[in-house]
Amino acid sequence: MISQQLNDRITQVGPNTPAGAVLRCYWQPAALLEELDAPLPVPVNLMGERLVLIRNDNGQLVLATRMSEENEPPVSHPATDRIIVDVDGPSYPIVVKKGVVFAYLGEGEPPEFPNFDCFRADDQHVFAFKGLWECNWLQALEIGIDPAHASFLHRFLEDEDPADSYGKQFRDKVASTDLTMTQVLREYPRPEIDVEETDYGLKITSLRHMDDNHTHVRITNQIFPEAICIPMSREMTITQWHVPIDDHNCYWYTLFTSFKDPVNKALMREQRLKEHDLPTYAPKKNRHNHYGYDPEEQETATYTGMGMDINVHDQWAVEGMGAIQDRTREHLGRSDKAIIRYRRMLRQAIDALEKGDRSALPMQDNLQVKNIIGPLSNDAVAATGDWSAICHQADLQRRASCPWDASI
Amino acid sequence: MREIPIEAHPFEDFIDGYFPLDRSLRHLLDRRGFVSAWVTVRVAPMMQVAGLADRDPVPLHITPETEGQIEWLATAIRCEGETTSVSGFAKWHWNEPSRNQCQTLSSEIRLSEPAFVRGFGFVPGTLQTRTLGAVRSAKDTSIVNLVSQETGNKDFLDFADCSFWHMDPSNGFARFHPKFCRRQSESMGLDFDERQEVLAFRSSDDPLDSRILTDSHAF
Repeated sequence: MISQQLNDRITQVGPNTPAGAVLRCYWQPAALLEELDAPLPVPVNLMGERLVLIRNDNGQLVLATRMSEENEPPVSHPATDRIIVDVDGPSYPIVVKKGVVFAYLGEGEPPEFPNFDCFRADDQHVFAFKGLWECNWLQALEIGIDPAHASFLHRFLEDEDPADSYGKQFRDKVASTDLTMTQVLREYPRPEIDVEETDYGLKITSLRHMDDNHTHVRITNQIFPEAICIPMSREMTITQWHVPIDDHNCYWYTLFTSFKDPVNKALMREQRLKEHDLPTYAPKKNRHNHYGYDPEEQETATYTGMGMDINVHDQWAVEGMGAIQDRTREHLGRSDKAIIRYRRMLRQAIDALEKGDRSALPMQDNLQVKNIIGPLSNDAVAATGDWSAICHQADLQRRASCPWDASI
Repeated sequence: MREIPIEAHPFEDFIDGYFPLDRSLRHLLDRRGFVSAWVTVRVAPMMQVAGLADRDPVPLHITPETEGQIEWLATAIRCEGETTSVSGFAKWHWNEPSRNQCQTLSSEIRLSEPAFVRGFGFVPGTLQTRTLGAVRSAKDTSIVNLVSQETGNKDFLDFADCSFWHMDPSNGFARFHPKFCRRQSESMGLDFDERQEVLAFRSSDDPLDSRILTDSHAF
């Protein structure tokens, strides 16, 4: 548990806030490219700032400031003809990558992008989507770096046919076994967790020791400052940012990256549009309809009773903590290793930046950042004594047969 | 010319929060079979609640006036029987400014959440030291070396790129001052009194050793 003062320090991200200054040292997802199908200007609400995508006098797409009312709702999406650009406000550079418009809201030169798989893959192999969560960005991130929660929050009491699992998380088989992820998570709920600091953030290894002297290995990652990279299926990974709209709301932006076939973007979009309303990408299941809670389903099919979409489970868990989690009352434990190490990194970054040492933050050295590839993110089952080598080998095999250059 | 190398086992681990810090560190030693250890902690929130007895649980809710933050802490901790002793250095602040005049930090403060730590552990042996207890000396070279008046000629410290920690085996953490740690042997003179020992850390190319040394020098 930490004081309100310290909680404010690591959660608040508006202009001139310590954590906000850290996040502003990195490119931030600002919109999906598909949002630009609408006529410009397109409103953006990002890091406590009211912004708008426009073309400047040179025809370049930029993120400018827009005028706003004081009582404007956080996820306001005013009509095009009601948007007034604030010519005196800051204007930020943008870059479009893999279906996402990234913006740089910081001072000085923006850093290079690392060569993560989601950026290296062909456009056909990456699908982007986003969704609204009505809570602070930090608790949204922290659930994503807690490997233990999946065994409870995402517990499915029955296993689906993996053939029907396309585009869904945890429904596929594990590696070359006949085990499904749902079965592994359900039957082995207490992972041994190891966390390693890397040049991009944290590598999180979860070991679920099984009955037959085999171990299930799941490698996930925290990408500093507010993204994760996790396996979705044997074929795909998820790289997901938790981007503050303001201190009380955030968007998850996900790049689904396929190592095998081109992504069926139409199907994946259709799946997700069933769950979200445009233009705000607000989830149809939310606190106002109790996240679709069904007691009968809870008794027979899922741990939460909130349907098969694990995003809804996570949304309920993080929104249920309140707009900003009250960390004056939390008690972290041993399974929170990754959260503990992440907060250490964040506090260190905040302190370093306050001392003017931006170079102490991860991925700020442009010579090095281009050499950051991967990260390794997969599920594997191996003989218990041999899990590390097998996991690495499985990653290499997947990369070797990948149609785009996934070599490391 | 000789130094006394100590068998040092580098580690990364987590210690619990909520308990008095010296007890959480003791748990670490017990878990790993060490008789003593050099441990570093960085940017860890801490609390000190007035009237909270040693065995009392922490309150369910923390208030700003009870909280502070360890910015950096490096300590030697040793156990002898049931007794746990720490001697170390720290930089810290309390939210309550009036508490920041104090030049020592009690080893009984409690971390507000579990903390990631790095350090070197030492196993039981016959080399008697005041700072680390009775530890095993290394057969060859070591990253951690003991220097005291008893170890012989003061000019044996001929190795470069080393850090030298003046240890005073009293309890608690002293607010860090540059005099406690020097990076070059030639300028230090090793003017320590009879109570003091110096721990000398060599540089290392090993990644884990390097991370520990980086944290040790992050004052």
